[in-house]
Amino acid sequence: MIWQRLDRDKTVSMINRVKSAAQSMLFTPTTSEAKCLNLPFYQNYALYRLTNYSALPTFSMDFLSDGEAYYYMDGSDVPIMKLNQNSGFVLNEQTVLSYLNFYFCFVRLPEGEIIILKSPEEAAIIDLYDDERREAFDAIPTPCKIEEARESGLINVIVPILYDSSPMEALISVDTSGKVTVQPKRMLTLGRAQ
Amino acid sequence: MNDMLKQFGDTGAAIASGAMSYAHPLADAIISECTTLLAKVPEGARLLSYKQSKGITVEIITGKKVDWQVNHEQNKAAIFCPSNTKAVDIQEMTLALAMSIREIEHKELGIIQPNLQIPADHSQKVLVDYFLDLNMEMCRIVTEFENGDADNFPKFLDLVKKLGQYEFYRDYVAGKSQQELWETLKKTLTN
Repeated sequence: MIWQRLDRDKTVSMINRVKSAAQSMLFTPTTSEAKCLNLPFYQNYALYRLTNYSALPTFSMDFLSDGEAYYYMDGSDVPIMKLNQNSGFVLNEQTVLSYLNFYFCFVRLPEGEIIILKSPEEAAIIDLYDDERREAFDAIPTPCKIEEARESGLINVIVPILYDSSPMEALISVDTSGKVTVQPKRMLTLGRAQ
Repeated sequence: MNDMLKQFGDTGAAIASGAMSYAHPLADAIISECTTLLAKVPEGARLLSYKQSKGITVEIITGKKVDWQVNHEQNKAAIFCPSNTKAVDIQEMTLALAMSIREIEHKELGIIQPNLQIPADHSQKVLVDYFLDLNMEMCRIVTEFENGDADNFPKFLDLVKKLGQYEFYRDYVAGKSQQELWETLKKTLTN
């Protein structure tokens, strides 16, 4: 997945669409950059990022957009669920992992941060605040089991995850609306189930 | 704020496709809770007093993670909090409030805000100096909670660990010099 930088006119247009008078302190055209990332599970929408480079560390805000309407990623799953109602939401065995990586990156859950691990061993070295790692939406975990239950419409995924700072094997179920349910199954230690 | 504000729930996202408002629907309650907690320790109380005396404005804005951004010219800080406050610890938001006030104070202290215009041969020192002060301020506050508020201290310490600054914190508590802490932080930032 590769971010595409928006040209100057599109950047200015985006800033004008998303900034409110009250928060005009956050972005100006001279110090900001906009870019977008296509997501395999949305046909009509992409992830848009506005970054302020006036100071370090840089500061970004993210939106789902079709280039016209912008849905601010506010830490809840509401903007995602809203877009999932559109006909352009494509959830299947090929896109479900990207969707889950994306979902856990942008939705702050009451049970804490969840990350699908590339392997159980990654739990020992992963940095929860490493945005680049969290945004690796195309990361493929090992082991990984994906099953589509035709009668219920659920896609069930069994993968290693970091759950409440501990490596767990979890059953993650996604329904046709994109609603995600996580069931931790067992603790993992360096790749072995306990 | 899963521990403090039991009445908090998922308030829904601030979605808009025209003129947007990012203001957190529970902004007043969040500010109130964080201010109360921060005021429990001496350095927190000093920061709150500084905020009041300088007329610093703090806005609570929805965002995917807890973060802050200051604007020195406007004397304002924006603190970001996920829409669903059950997913956030009040200790994390309280530290964000403290750090944002401290960052506005940087101007008076002569600490330069890192930016891309700073020449490369000077930029690393500016960056480390900036983070050194914020880290030391964080440790000062967390140690004050360790000494005066056993209920809240464990969550603050967990946060220090999550931020990858536990080694720095241990060095700070051990009384290492500012130069030694500078070296610890430099190692963290370059790893």
